[in-house]
Amino acid sequence: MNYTIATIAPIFLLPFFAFVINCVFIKKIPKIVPWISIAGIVGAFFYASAIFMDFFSVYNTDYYIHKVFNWIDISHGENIFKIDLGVYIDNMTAVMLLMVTGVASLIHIFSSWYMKGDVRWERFFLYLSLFTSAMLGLVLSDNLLSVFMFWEVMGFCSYSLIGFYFEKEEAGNASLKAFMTTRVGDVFFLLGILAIWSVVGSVDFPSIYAAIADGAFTGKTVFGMSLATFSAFCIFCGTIGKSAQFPLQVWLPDAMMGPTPCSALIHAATMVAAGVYLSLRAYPLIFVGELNLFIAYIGGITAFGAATIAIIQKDLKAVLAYSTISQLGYMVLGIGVGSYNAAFMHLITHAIFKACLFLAAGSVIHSYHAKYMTEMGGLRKKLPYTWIAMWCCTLAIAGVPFFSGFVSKDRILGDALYMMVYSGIGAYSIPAILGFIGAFLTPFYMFRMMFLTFHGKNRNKEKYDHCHKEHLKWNQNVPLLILSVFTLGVFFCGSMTGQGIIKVAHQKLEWFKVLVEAPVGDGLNKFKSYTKQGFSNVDTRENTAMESSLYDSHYHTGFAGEGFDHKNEQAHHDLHHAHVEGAVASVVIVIFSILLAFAMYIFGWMNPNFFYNKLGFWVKAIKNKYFFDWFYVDIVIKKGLLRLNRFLSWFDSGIYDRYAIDGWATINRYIFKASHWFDRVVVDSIAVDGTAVGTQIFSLVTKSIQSGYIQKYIIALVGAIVVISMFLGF
Amino acid sequence: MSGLLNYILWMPAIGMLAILFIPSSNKTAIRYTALITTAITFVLTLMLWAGFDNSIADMQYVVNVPWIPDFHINYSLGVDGISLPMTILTGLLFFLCILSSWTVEKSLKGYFALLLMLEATVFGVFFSLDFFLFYVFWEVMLLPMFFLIGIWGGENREYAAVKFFLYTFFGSIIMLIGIIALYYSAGNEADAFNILAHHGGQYIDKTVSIFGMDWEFNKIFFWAMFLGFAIKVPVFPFHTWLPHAHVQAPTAVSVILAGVLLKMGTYGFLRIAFPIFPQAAVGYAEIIAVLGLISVLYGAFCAMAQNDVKKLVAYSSVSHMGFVMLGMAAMTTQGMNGAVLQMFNHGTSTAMMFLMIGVIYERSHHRWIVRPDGTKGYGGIAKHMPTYTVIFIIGMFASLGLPGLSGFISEALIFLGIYERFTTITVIAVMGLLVGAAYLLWMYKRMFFGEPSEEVRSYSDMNYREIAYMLPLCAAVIVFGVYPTPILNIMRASVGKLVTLLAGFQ
Repeated sequence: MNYTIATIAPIFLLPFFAFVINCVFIKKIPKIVPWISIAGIVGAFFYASAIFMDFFSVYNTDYYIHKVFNWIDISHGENIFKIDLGVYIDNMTAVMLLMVTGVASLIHIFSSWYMKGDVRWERFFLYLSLFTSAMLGLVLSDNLLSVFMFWEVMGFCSYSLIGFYFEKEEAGNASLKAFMTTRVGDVFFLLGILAIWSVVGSVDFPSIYAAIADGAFTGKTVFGMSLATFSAFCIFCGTIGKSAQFPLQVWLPDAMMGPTPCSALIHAATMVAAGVYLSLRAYPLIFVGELNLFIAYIGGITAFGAATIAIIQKDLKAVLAYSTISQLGYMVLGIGVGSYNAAFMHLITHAIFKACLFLAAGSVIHSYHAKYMTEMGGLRKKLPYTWIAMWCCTLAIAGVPFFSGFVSKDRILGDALYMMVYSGIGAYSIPAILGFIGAFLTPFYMFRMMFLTFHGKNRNKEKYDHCHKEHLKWNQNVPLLILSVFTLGVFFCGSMTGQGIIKVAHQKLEWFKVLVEAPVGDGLNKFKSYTKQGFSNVDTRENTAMESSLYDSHYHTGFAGEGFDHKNEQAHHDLHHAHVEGAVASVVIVIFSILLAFAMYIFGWMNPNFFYNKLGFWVKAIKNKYFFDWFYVDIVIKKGLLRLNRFLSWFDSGIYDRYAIDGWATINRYIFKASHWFDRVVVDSIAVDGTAVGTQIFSLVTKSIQSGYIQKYIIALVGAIVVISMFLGF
Repeated sequence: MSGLLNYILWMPAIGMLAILFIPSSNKTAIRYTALITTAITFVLTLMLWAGFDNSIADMQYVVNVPWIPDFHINYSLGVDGISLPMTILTGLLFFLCILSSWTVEKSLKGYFALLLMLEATVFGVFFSLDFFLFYVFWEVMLLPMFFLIGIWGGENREYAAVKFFLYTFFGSIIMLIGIIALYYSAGNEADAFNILAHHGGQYIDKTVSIFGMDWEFNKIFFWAMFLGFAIKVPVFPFHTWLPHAHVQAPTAVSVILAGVLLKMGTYGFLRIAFPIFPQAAVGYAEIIAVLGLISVLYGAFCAMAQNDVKKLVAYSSVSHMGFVMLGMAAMTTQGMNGAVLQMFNHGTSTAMMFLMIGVIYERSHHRWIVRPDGTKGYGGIAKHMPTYTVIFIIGMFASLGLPGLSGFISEALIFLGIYERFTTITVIAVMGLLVGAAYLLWMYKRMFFGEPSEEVRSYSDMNYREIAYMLPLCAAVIVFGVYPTPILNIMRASVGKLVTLLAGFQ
């Protein structure tokens, strides 16, 4: 395929132009706004499909496209400084582009049903288009700086969409919270960019990888830690913020204040996944910086903690929000335990089934006019298509074999198990165990949600009667059904189980594992041979790197921790063991979990309230979301930050300005009072007037002498002569 | 067109004279005279840009006429890549300010005359290549500002005007000592007042005796200059005149103050303090950076505590000008370019903020986010005034540095520039971005979200005149956010020359 600006740029530009055109038309012809948005994203989808098909047909891990153009050039003489932006497409990008455009197209279409008649619904499409273009721009970016820029624009869209119903006080709070919490991570992300820039001199991925391969990061330290660790940590902080990981997970549940399609697109499928995508892109840095263990802990804690909170939620969307956090935790755990491929696969599979779940939830909420599951029940008769779609996705997220969630999540868990048992690093056991407990909780809360919503008896007759029976509508449930088809594991992995227990013969069915290869270890050297091309330079030569490493089944089967140096026979053997054991364990776990859900919510063998009341403190902690909100808002912000601000402001105007600055005026006043006194008393009264007085006194004396009597003069004369003579020594 | 600088400089003065001859009862004529004058001036600045050769680092459009030959004082003007962005900004902002002042009724003859006088003096500062001329414009500028704040200001205007005047005057006096010292230090008398001749610091390698002690000339007078400019910027701890002046000043004057006058301080560093005292500048870079850092954080924290929206934005100016100081202290290509770009970008974004506050102030006649008695001031504006909200969002996000809008790229360049030199300072300064976002978004939340109150419902949305003067700024903020190259191209040669000069003393 011929890659020029005309074949790549439309992916980003079509949604962006849709945004611009909509800005113009929003006042005049609001009706066409959704159609322009949909046209933009569907157009982008076709371009992305073409790129994906090209990459799929080349079927080579080393195939890539790297086009650059100059954005900023402030060089002068010997001082060179340039910022190049560009497009970097490898297999991962191609998959991501297809996923984002596909899911976003369906969500756009669904939104045209969901948002119809809502307040400011045209404006919703405006944000949606801007968001999609930013997300696609991020995926296409070849460097961290433009990733950061699109990242922030997405943050802005997220902010605007969370605060979409801004009449509500809570919406305002939620949007502020979302923006500020992610901004904490973003600030570190920016710092990471600066740190990398100081070493590499640019921030595009191939250069970073090549620099790591050259050992540019080794031996350099900053603040006493290795520079690689520092920059990897900073970049990963971006992930923590954007992907709602512990301890910055607090914003995502509140983000559900926004319209449901935006939750599906932004807070489930794409933006939060972009955080994980960033860490995947920065994986070599994480690896060199030895940050894996830290990341595994963050992921494990998040996966487990969010799953526990999801269990007791009453709000349909809140369950999905916490499950999103939990699933993102699995991806991060995957990065931590070095299962690069599986983490990315989980990103893709999760995006699809979670987007579908959110859309289905939107469909339920919109049709039924309620958001609490306590008011639902038995809805499967009213909303059959939504019900089917949602079940497919539930099975996928629960990790039932043959569904996509099993394929991806199980490989992460298998690798975690490997790191725990076989790698000899005991510290990995906690994240791994947390991951497995999370895997037990996931099917439970998802089935609970399904049972409470669609099964059993209805709990609000009035609303139930009011709800119309669902018809097959192209923009309501067709997108759901399309998405639910892709919850099948076979699309991602030919063996359908992730562990290769059941194999399908066709070679290309294992495409995901083959094509997405972790850029670590010896593989980094290949980036040195990568060439950049300007967009203007239309080069039809395809950038397949020097040696093509075509599919080699022995080399590529499900490596945990690529680069952890277990290419030897024993490690390979262990890994295989771990994966099979992990698969068996998780299937057993899933079965038990599902049985428990059935026992509680369908058969009524166990009363959930019993456990609810029994586990008092635990429930209280879960109810308060482990007290994070309280800590951040009440302690850090209200008691810390705002008090500091008030103190500084008081100090600034009340103390510093008043005394140190205006004090000069006071001092001046004293000085001029003193000088006035000096002037009046010393100079004027004593010196000037005193001279006059002195003169008067003197004149009085002299006056008395000059009496006019001649005899007195003679006496004086004689006296004077006598005195002078005595002096002269006569 | 070598006389273009003369036209730009004296055009507002001619306008001012014209206004003085119009009877004060004829308000329309006064307004249109002011508008046309500033419009022509703005077009002239654009012509200046069009004829400007980006590849030349030195002064262009140079005018040099002997003024007081006995003392080697020349009327010498010129423009280079550092002053040209400021010139364009000045031309643009004064034009928009006249538009925004359309509703001023109180003795408007004096008001517009003083505004035009202010514009002339600001151009004078940016064009002067002669110390004496520079100082004259620098001082004369205080006069219209003093009266504009003192007569057309808010309830506490006299205090603010006097404070502004005395504080900046104090700085200028110290600066004057520096200028006189440089005059006598010049070996060649013909160059004594020539700013460019002093560049490179060839006359300052000596000691000077003050109070019986020997001081190194280049250090002591660097600090003299520093003080004069730092007060103008203002850098912590010389910033306290700013909130008073901003809060009391009428809208247009706030815009000019934040948009242009503060930049004269940083411009002074770039034109005078740094190139003339390069050893001292390089040696004290860390102190400058620390002061910049404190300004960034201190300004941001203080801004967060404000309940008066104008005061909040005033403190945010302290914070944002701190970034400029950081970029200058970096003395690298990226940092310096970022600093000059930030001067321009802060000019547009903060002007937007002050103009928007002016718009709402005209309707509400108060500026409270939260009133002193704890009740809500504004609230729910978003629902009631959609156009206002959209423009406000653009200005606010430009100001907090959202990528795609102008603030981001200059801050990013500054950080890229300073990281390699002062890593610790960078790490702390980056947190300023966080607080920066916090106070703006918190203000936004309190002012715009929620249901509109009765009072807010009575406001009308922006009218066409108001939209008209916001649009150029919106366009500037967006265009230069996505594609900053036009502005960077202007400055890069001149800034590069300065960086090379300073690098020689590292």
